[in-house]
Amino acid sequence: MTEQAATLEAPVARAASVNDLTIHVATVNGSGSQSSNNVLMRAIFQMGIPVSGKNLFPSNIAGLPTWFTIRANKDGWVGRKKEVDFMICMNAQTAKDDVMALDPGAICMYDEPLNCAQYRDDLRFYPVPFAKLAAEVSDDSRLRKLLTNMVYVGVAAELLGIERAELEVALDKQFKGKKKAAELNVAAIDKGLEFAKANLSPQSLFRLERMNETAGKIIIDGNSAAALGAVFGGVTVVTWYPITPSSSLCEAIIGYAKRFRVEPDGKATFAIVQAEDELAAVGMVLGAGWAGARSMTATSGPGISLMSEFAGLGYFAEIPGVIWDIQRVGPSTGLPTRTAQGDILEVATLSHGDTQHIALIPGSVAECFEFAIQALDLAEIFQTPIFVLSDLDLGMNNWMSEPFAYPEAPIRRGKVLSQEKLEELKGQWGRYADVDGDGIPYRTLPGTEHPMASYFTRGSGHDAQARYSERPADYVATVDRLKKKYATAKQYVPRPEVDRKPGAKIGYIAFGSSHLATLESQQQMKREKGIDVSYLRLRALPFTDEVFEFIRTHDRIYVIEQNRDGQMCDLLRLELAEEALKLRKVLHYDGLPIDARFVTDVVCELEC
Amino acid sequence: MTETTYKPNDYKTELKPVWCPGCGDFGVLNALYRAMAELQLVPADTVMVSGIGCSSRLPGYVETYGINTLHGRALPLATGVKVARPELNVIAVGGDGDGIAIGGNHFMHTARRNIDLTYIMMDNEIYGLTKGQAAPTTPTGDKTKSTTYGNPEHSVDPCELAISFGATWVARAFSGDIKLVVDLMKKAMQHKGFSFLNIISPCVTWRGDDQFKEIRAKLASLPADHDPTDRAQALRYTRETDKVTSGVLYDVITSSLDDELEVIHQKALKVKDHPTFKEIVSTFY
Repeated sequence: MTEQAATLEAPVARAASVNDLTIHVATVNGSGSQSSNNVLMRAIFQMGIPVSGKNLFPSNIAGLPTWFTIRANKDGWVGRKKEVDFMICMNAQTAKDDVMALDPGAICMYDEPLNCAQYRDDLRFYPVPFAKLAAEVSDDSRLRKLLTNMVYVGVAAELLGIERAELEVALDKQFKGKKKAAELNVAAIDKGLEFAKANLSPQSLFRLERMNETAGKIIIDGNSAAALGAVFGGVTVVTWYPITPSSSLCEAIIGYAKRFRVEPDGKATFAIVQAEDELAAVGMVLGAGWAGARSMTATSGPGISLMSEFAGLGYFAEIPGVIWDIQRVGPSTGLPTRTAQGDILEVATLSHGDTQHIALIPGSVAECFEFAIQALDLAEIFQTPIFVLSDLDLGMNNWMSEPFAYPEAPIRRGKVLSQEKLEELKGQWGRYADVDGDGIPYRTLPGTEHPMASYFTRGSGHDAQARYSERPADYVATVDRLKKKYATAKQYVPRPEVDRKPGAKIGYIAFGSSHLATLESQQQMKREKGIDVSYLRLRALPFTDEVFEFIRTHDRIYVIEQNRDGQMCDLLRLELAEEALKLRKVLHYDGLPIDARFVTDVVCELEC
Repeated sequence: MTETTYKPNDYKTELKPVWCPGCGDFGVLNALYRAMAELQLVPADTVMVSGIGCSSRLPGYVETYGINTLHGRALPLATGVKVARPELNVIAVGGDGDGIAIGGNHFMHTARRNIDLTYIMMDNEIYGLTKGQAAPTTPTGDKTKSTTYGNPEHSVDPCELAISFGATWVARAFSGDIKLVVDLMKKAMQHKGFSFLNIISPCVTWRGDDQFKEIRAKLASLPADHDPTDRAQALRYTRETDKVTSGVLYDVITSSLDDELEVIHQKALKVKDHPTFKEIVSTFY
């Protein structure tokens, strides 16, 4: 690429492509560009072209730079791609950097006063007088600012071949029947279309053409999917403390609960509490879970840190609850609006003393939905806090998916003793007794009217009958049983997804939002280097036998993750010490979503 | 269940209290057995939640569902129980260090949320279980293990805090005055909303053998014309150094969070046909 740049031929020749491009829009946070970007993304989706949209935003309400990246790809590779093909520069603060970062031959459409063309001569530039065009649509100065964003949608549509009819459909959806707003925005789009048609020379480098790869699919963010799953999973108590990037999960639940969980007589069948902090939020979750409700909270790394002490109580007193961790960059407040998978080690053993937690790791929006249900089941089956590790990229960005399947399986409430069951047992019941040999005891719920039903539980030492005990043997028995319970979980957690290539010597292990980039890299390795790579996607802690089998049967394993230290790799090494040297780390941790080229480059350096 | 079925002894568990001989918490426990019996609380429908500390051991001695949680965190857990199962009687107990120092934030917010539960604070003006360090309630100037030259910090009055935080029922009593404690416990449990009962419960080990005598000498009753709905009047009987005024300081008839929510639900009551699963998912097409 640098060689090409050195020739300084303007514009550099690039192979033309159809339905394979990345659009990058640079705007100012709070300027109302989100609607425009959504319309652009949706219109492409409606044209049947696989697409994704990622919002890169600052920790700020208004004024700082923000970017939105749309990747359209006919083969369905819609994980992040670093290289930008079509840049839309609307922000003076970043215009120069945005232009300088482009690969030669890229297209750069910009707000005329920014004079972006001054910076380089190896790009194809399209200046557009946005303010003037917006003024022709409305004389309201405030509206004009917003409409400017819709004008760039029109210009981009004309240059790229996005169908006007689909823009209109997308716009209708965006403004949900607000007729006046929709009409004004259509006018702005048309203004852009007309301007481009009359004044800009057409380009044929990057084109979008109708295909049929998105029929029946939906676009949704992971947090909305998780919220929907939780509601279908029967969550009744939700407690939370606002924190990016998890807030939208609880806010979505509030929306769903109000619509679907109010009885015809007006009685709510849910309780949602905005707590004073994350300590209180998880405390309420455990209180509700102990009392028999399906309860959950959602937070991010800093909140997880605060929940640490309660996580130990929940583990040791054996109380169900679900905790979603929408991971972001840390430590401390870190980069609060950037993505990471940096809480793996923290969550795996959260709290003091000997603790091990069950964690589910969704790798798609569909799994956010499914695991939200499954986590509530597992919490009650195992009577323990269940963590779900998502992240900002999966939780807040837009992902394409098959429509979710209606959850047919009945809700599983685990080992709960009713009054009748206690009669049958003739009082032979101990809250922490391992009757079935799987490490999972039986519990009763408050309100169960039987002389044997009530019990007193605690985070301090107890025996099988829940009696206070500091006897060494009782403590050992308790924590050993908890370990057995954790081992039992291997039979219940989602098993990894394994794609074993015949004869492959190397394998990838990845999880969560790294999935699409990993898949794409697997394909790049084959196509570009002729190397077959197997791929195992982790979906839960504890690790199941398939994981170890996968490692044992490959010469080298690349563990791909979005943190500095290779936390998941270290966990694997701890459990499979004899294979530790086989495991290599591929680490992406700059706050942006991982991309396939990065993975391929790192692996190639060691393999090719 | 027309006859009285529960006697005070029915609420006792097999566990023997491990408090120091002479501890004020014995009086609180015995009063609680009596108050529960007089209210005929059904053990299976009653939940006791505590934090950590000497007084937080109390739920273990009461025959109900109980949970001994974390230091300072009884109230969030109690809130979780109550919002999940509003039909249960929920009683949170703990000490002054537990509730005001490490758990102060939760005290504030549970009170202001007006969750319908009773919070009994056994106040000994000291950290007992960690062996005698100063608490936020330890009077200024007092020598403790952690304030060997006298406590240089200002102390707080739990009742004053509770009223400021928005508790809708606040009372104080002395654990040696069992009759009054029983009466106030009953009133607290019958109050709809967040009720706070501060019980001065002497620590004979770390605050001295004469605690009972000293507090008894300071005991004062509220004047007959005290108006517990008057916030300013109620606050007059807090932060007293020469007196310990007992009785119901503050009692405002208000709606609990449950009632407030009911109003909101009625507002939300524009019954629409529930959409099918397919219709919900289709909003994302």
